[in-house]
Amino acid sequence: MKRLLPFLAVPAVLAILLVAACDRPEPADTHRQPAVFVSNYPLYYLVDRLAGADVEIIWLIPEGEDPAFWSPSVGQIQEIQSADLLVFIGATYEKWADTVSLDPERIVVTGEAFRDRWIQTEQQSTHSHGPEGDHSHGGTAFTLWLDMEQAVIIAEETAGALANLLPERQDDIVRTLDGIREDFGGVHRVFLDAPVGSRVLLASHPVYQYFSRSYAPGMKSLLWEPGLYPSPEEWRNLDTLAAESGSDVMVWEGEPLDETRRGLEDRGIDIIVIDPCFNVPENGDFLSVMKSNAEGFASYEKP
Amino acid sequence: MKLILFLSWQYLRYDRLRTAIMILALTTVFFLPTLLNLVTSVSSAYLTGRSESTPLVMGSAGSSLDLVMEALYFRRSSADDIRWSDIQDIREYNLGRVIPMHTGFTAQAIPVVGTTLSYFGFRNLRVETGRMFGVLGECVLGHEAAQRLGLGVGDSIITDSENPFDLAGSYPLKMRIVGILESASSWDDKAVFCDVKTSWVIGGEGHGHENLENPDSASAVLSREGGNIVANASLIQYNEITPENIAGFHFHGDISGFPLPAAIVLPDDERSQALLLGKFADNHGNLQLVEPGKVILKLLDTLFRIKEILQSVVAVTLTVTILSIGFILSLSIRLRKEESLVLFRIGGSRSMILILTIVETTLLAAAALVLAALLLLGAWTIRDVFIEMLIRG
Repeated sequence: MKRLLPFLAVPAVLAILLVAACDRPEPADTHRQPAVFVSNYPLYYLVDRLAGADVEIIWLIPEGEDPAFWSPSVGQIQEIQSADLLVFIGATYEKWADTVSLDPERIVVTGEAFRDRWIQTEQQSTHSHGPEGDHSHGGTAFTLWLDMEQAVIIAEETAGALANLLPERQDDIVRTLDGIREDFGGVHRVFLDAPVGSRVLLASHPVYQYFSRSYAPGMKSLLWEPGLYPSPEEWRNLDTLAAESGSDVMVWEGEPLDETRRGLEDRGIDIIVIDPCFNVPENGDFLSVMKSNAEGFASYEKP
Repeated sequence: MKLILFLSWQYLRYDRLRTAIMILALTTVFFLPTLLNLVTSVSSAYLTGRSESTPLVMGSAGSSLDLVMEALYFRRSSADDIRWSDIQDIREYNLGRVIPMHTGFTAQAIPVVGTTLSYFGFRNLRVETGRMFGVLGECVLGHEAAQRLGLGVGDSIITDSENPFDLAGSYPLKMRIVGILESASSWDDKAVFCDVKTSWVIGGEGHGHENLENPDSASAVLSREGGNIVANASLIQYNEITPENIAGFHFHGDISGFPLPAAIVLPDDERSQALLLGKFADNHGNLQLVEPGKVILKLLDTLFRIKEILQSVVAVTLTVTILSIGFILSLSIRLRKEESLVLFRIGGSRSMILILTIVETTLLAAAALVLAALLLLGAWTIRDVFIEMLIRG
């Protein structure tokens, strides 16, 4: 059998070469941009600003949907799996990722750098709104970027991951990061100096834990939605909370319904909008929304 | 010459028992040493190829061979598990990539391997039909495993129960097959692959059940203390992960403490490999990092030593066999003295009688050679069985 091998080897090698030549794939597109998946809009803004021209950003969150309660379809999972880099917030924000098969080595959890500062919240009852159905805000508070100092760390982590992905663009990324630090720092100072921060505020939704810790200690939270009119029980809860805390200012994620606004005005409660900017804003970008939030917060005066 | 061939053939046919014994004895002479060479060379080529393409393997301290066999050939070992945090730690060195290898479970006696998507890139495994697993409870089958089980995309496979009498243990999980891998002509063809998180669900670290906050589940609640709800034994756990119940699946405890039998480590370069080996040589008391190539080389050394011993035994056997053949031949020449005399008297020369004996022996040897070749061909076609016997132990 061994003697036969040299005779068999020649045609075998020729056949392998022939098959290899036939099966050879088209040359890979060496100019394909690296794909980066982001799990919410603040991260989209950062990746776009830091390296938008050099990466393809995979953005799958439907318009108007809260990314914290979104989950991908099978086709979207395949798209996410194909990404070269996945930028996450952390703090249980990407709950869908617990049950999806992803390559952990491609994931950068930007909030991991300050894990010790994550806020654990009490379990609250589930509630339903929007296309995502029932959900709960219990567990770990996840709106890390509403503390602008934390937002800077998120930007730094994102920049680090992008610099690893695009080593030849490292200098540009570092320069852009300096600009982001400056911008976010400016917003942070405006929030910090706002006189209203020293008052007890009411929050329409439990998404302001980090904001409250940095800019408005003592904030009391309800579970209201801007697009839904509160039930009589929810109004009673508000009355109790307002009476207990002595608060007459309520922070909202967005403009409430006119009837809700009137109901609040009747009770002498003013409204400040602090948009967490989960999803793509109708106007402007993350920075302009945060600046607008800060200006509204800083300029508030009780009439 | 035709006459000599005819006479030889007729004689061999006449004394069939002697002919059969001679052929068997000669077959043994040809077959045994070649078989020994075949088994050792095929095994060594198979083991060496896979081990040399795997730079490093990490696991708990103990037998390095068991660890390599577990990570490369999915063979269950009794060694302790490492923790997920251990591979996170090694990642923090930034010296290479780490691929978790959760082995130990089986489905219809086929090994179930829990890993991450990196494994498929590393082994150059591609999906032939269907797609890669995407969520908990999905799996892809190796080419041979799919053929052996007769399963395809859209079918399901149930994991084997570890201990049917352990009511508190892990329950079988019905996994959906979403893809079949291309044949890689390697051990990967013989396995079922799923996400490492699915392996944790099989192992009981994660599970899914009805929402205990739901009023319909009140009968399954044993007690409520603050935010903590304790369920009783009537709580129904899902044995299949579907789009409808996937949200009910969750993991208990910190994932960093979850078990992992082994991990493949892919250093960035030779320097990184040396640094990693150095770090593990210094202080990783309960962990070990080994080079599979070297471990398998040690195994092969042992294998070759066994081969040498076997070769000595075979050599003795062959010597005895050849002597026996010689004895039988000389005996048969003596017994056929009268027959030779008859040939001589009817005109056959001495040289013709000698040629007749040589031709008979040549025919016997040719038959034995053909038989040995057929046996070797048979052995070659079932070489995977040898390898499986060697690897599975």
